Amino acid sequence: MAEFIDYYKVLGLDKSAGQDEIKKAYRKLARKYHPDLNPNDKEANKKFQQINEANEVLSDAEKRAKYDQYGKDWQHAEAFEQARQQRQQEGRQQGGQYGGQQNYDDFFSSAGEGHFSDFFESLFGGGGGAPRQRSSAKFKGSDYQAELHLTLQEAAETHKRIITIDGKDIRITIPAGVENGQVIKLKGYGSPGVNGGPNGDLYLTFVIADDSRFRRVGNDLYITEHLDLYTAVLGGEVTLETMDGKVKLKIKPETQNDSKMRLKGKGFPLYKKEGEKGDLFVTFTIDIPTNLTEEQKGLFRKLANR
Amino acid sequence: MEQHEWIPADLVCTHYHVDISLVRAIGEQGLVDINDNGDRILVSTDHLEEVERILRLHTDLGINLEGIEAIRYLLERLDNLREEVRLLKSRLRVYE
Repeated sequence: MAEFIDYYKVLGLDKSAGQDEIKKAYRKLARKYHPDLNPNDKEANKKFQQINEANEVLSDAEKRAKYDQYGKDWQHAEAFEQARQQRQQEGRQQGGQYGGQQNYDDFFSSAGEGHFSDFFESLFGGGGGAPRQRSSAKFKGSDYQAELHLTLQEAAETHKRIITIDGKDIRITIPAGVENGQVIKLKGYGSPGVNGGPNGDLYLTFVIADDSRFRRVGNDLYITEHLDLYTAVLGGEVTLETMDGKVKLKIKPETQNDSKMRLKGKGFPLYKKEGEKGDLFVTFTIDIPTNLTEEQKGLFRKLANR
Repeated sequence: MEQHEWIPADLVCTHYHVDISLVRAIGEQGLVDINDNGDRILVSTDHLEEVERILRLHTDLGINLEGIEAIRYLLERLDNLREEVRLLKSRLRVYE
């Protein structure tokens, strides 16, 4: 069922408000909630649509009268209108007395635009087809917001995706290096404009899932690598899995627990900067051997001079 | 050499029901670069979206060009602050 919208409340007016007050209230609120002043704000766009609807109705004497008369009982009003139209039609068919009266079907003809709330369409027909006071006013359609979830690995590679908005498939290229929370604008993929105005835009927010191995800070990546005690003490070589493959690392003798190594250019790709990457920071955690044999323990005691 | 596609400003004016003098004023105010050769005003298609936004703000809300310039500046600041908040949030996640 269409939700009842109190147009007076929307504009912050009481029922006795004059045309000047309506105009003033509309202007004031439109300035506050206009989509161009509130980009990316779904609530403001919704509010703006309601303000427009309220203005369309209350600034038109006939529409306002109907709204005032039926108020919350608009559904009955519609039934009443239908019954009346039926009676008129019957009268015309019979060549009767109603032929010369105003044709309400024409007056409330549907523009089929669908930019108004269900309530407005229920009350005045689809799209509010009645002549509008500000017929030249074109408004941009409201913007859409959507989220696109990616893994860290996906965010590191330029790739194509198909997303479906309003049943329409949109093919987009996601550049490597997008950030968590980053928003891109797809112009014209929002809801249709009002009165022939431009379509709204689609704002796509990337949500990048945490990775179990890599931690991303900006364009740098952080990982923890485990070293066995002997390699840490004596030095050696380990193979490290980075985001774009394996690399061999030389471990210096006497590498300390929690020490760090920076691998330049092995981090995350920079957004829209082909070939450029941040750095990879490796933190070494040294694993103390367990389940030592008596002989091994003896050797350690020797080292410790005990 | 940088190339632009241009659209005659009178087409934009017809669409938005505004006088050509308004587009000229937008250019003079420095809000958008337009090509005014005296006979004809051309708007770069790169700037068309911005011109349309300015016209909407002017015609829908009755804001004058000085006001629009101030709004643009404030929206830009708002955008920068939003971006800063987003980056800070992203960094904060590391410590959570």
